[in-house]
Amino acid sequence: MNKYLALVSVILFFIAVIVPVLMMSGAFIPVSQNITFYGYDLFNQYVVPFELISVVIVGAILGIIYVARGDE
Amino acid sequence: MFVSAISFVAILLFAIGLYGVITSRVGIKMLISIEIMINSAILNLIGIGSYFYAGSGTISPYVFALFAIAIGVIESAVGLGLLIAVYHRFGKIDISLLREIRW
Repeated sequence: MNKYLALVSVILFFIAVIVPVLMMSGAFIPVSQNITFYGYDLFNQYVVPFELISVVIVGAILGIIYVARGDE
Repeated sequence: MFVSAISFVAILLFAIGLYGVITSRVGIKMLISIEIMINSAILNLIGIGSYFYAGSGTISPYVFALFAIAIGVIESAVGLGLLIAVYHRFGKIDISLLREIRW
């Protein structure tokens, strides 16, 4: 694996991504950050994905146990 | 502008993670690099979202960031489990050992 070639490609990727970001124009207004909105949204509007995450985690744990234990 | 600074740091982190993924042949190092890339995406989400959406009451970027963190943890655990399976089979962890399962 040629590391210099990888470095050159990563630098080219960085330039190709950072140029449109630096050319962004418009009014960016920082708004007040409040942790109350976070909890309110999490348990009202996004409560179904919040519960689905637990199902995904359980499935992942079972799959990890099945894969990592092997044929013991 | 400050939002460009946040995006600069995030894209720099992403480039570092991409370089690690490309050049590493050891599985653990590749997992760490993928985690760096996921964290750069979360940082970008938080940085941009604090400028556009926070406090408006319609949508919250932090909820998406929490979900992204949860999915990232799951991905890391699954990758570690796969590496443990590779270690049990071959006795060492090398990505070139997985040549048979590529498409």
